[in-house]
Amino acid sequence: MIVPEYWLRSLCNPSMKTEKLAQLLTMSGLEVESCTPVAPPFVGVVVGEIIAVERHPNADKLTVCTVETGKHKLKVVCGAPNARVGMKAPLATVGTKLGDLEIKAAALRGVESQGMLCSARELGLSEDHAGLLELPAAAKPGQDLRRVLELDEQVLSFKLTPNRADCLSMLGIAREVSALTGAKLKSTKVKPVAAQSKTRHPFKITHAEGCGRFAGRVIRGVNAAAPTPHWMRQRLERAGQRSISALVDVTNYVMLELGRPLHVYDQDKLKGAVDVRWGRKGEKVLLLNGQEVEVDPAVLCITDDSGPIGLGGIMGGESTKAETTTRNLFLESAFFHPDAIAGRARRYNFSSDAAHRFERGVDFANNVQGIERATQLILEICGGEPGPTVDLVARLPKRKPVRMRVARAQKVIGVPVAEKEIGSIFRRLGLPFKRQSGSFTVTPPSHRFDLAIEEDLIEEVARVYGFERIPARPPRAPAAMAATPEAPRALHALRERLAACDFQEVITFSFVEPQWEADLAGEPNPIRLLNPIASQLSVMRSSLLGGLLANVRYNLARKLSRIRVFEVGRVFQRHAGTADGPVQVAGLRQPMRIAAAACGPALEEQWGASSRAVDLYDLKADVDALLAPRAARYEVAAHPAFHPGRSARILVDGREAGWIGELHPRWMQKYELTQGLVCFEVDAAVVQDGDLPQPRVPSRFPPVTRDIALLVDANIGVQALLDAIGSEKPAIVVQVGLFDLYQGSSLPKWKKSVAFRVVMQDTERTLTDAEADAARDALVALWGRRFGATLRT
Amino acid sequence: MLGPHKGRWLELSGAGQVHPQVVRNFGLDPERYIGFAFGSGLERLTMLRYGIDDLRLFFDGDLRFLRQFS
Repeated sequence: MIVPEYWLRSLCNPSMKTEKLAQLLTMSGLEVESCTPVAPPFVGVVVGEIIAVERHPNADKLTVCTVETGKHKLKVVCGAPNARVGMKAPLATVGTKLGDLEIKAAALRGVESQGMLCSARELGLSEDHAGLLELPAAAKPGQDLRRVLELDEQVLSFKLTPNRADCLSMLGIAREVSALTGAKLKSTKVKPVAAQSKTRHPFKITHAEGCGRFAGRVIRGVNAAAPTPHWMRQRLERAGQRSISALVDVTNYVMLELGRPLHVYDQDKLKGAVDVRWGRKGEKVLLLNGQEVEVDPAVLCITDDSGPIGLGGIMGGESTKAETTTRNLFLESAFFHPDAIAGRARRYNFSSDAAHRFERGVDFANNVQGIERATQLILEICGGEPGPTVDLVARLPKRKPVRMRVARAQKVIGVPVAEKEIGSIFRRLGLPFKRQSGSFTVTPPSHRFDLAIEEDLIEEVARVYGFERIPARPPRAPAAMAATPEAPRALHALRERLAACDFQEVITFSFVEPQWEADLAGEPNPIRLLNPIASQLSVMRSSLLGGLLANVRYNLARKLSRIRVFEVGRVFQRHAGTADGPVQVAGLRQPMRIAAAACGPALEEQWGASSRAVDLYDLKADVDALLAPRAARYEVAAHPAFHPGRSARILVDGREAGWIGELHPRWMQKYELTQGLVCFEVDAAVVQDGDLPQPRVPSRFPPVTRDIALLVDANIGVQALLDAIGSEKPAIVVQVGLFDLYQGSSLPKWKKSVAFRVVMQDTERTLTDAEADAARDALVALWGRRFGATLRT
Repeated sequence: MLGPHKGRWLELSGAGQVHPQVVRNFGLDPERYIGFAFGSGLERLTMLRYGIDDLRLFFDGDLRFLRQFS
């Protein structure tokens, strides 16, 4: 809601600076988003009347205007196409500063110009630069432009909450201003305009649950082509409403002034009686915005004998619209029930000022006042002969009295607001009440749709009393120190570990594309949102991989080469084993996950190491770093997101922790990735778990190492070889690590060479070579027995 | 507040009395129990702290933006 200050002050004019008033309104619950001057702060621009226009002797596109300023006749060089004798336009006199431009007397192509005639854009008033800004004929030459156009005005922009539809008008805001400041609210009552003819247009309401009231009036013989007066145009434009034609401008003006939407029909285009009823399947109507919509029984229509001619409370139709050629018109001032309007415009993908108001609630007592005010303005501007106002009341909302106990209000607000002050607040707000001992019973007026329970009234008292006047009294409570568990690691510590591995944390949406779920999580039936905001955000993620993939694509598109990102967040899955509980819902679970993705070079480009792409083993090292001191096992297994030969299941202490892998080439192609992407995703709970370390005292005796190079079948995994040691491990063996892996032409086909370094140590004494050799031989024998491995010689 | 909105209001968090029907739905008597609720997004405070005026920057995941907070 945009409110020009002078328009507001014409209805309620407190002796308070605008900025202070804006602050007061904001504090009372009507947020003033901005308070901006309508014009830049220039001085020295006056009304100039062009009394002569001559061709410039040296330039085709310029003219030399003689401009009357009351005291002087000035020669001004001008390039505007609309300069003509008799026109009044803004003249920036010599010395005026317009932004960075200072107007000087200067020769333009050999002719001296003593000022500048201005367009609206040159003055910073609007973007209009088609020609000089044409001023009202009544403006006097030499008058200060700031006075003539009221350029010292400010415009307040309100961000209203949906419950305060009563504030969607100048009157509504003025009512608040009056309640908050005590300044008098000027009456907006209009003297009814007497009928000068008996002409009526027949109308009826078939469905009263949609349209509760309909007031109509015919005005014949109007001049719809008459120009909208300057004062009205100025107010409308400053309130954010473009001037269209006199009739449309009048209806918009009354809507903005009183909050009363109106519609004007060309009466000659109406075919028979007007009726308000629900739409019927198959009916169509072409609306004023050019959109043809199909209606149905959930949409309220204004109809005549030809069918629907508009959507009630939303928008009129093309077939009966008033134009500048209209001679006879029919004015509609109706009340539509909010439930009958809510959501209908959105269904057709548009919004209108009328729908915005009706779906929130429009005063159902000012229909006639609105029609009288519009009649008065139309007669002033367009002339015409009004018929009688016909007011049909079908079904209006009931206003139930609401009781507020003083003690209850004082308790909720926390301040003993006096009964007398409460009474005064209700009176200033225009809420009629009855006072009993210790309570007030308020009957909400027709313009308030938000007062239904005691708390609503307490809110009125609190906000007018002033939230700032409520003292802050911090509650006091004994606090006990809670123990922090030592073993499980905090998520934040895990985040820091990944950040230390050079990953950047990102947050992606929990709502994802169904396609990501199918492709990357193998989930054809993800949890769907009932009311998604967009089709690409229509399901809940069961994996973090989709969001990370999208992030990598986003950053690759911005030409970043090395991308390492991780996310810690919940995923959402169906899970039959979950029962209802205080913080869970049966059949669903939402575990926390940690996932990371990397692509591009393993290291930033540098001189010390040649560049290579990040691979699965780099990322495996990152997983190990995340889990340390616990060690993970990696088992080759297939996962829908990953390359079948380059993915593994991660196990920690026998529990499945997650997956690591390289993105499947199929998805690389589909998601248009030109370089490999490696990812892992693990359950946060498993990673967080862990006991306190159980350290052993390092041996004081020197270790002995033996290297073993084995020849085994190429399909045997190193992990299997290590696992096999298991229970048969000689007691002195403390560590077995792979240090070489080879497969190539010097070996038999289908064989590979694996080399382990075995570290042996005893805590009691120094080992002999014979003991070390025996342990080595035991290992070789074990591998020979289990895998047919032989020593490579 | 820093940045282009210096001197203007920014909605930081919502707060208010819990609707008595909600209290009733919890099986409590609204005459005896008054609920007050406060909720704030961390992003808002972060915006305020760093003078950032577009919330979306936090969720776009543009590394050129995020790396500044490493």
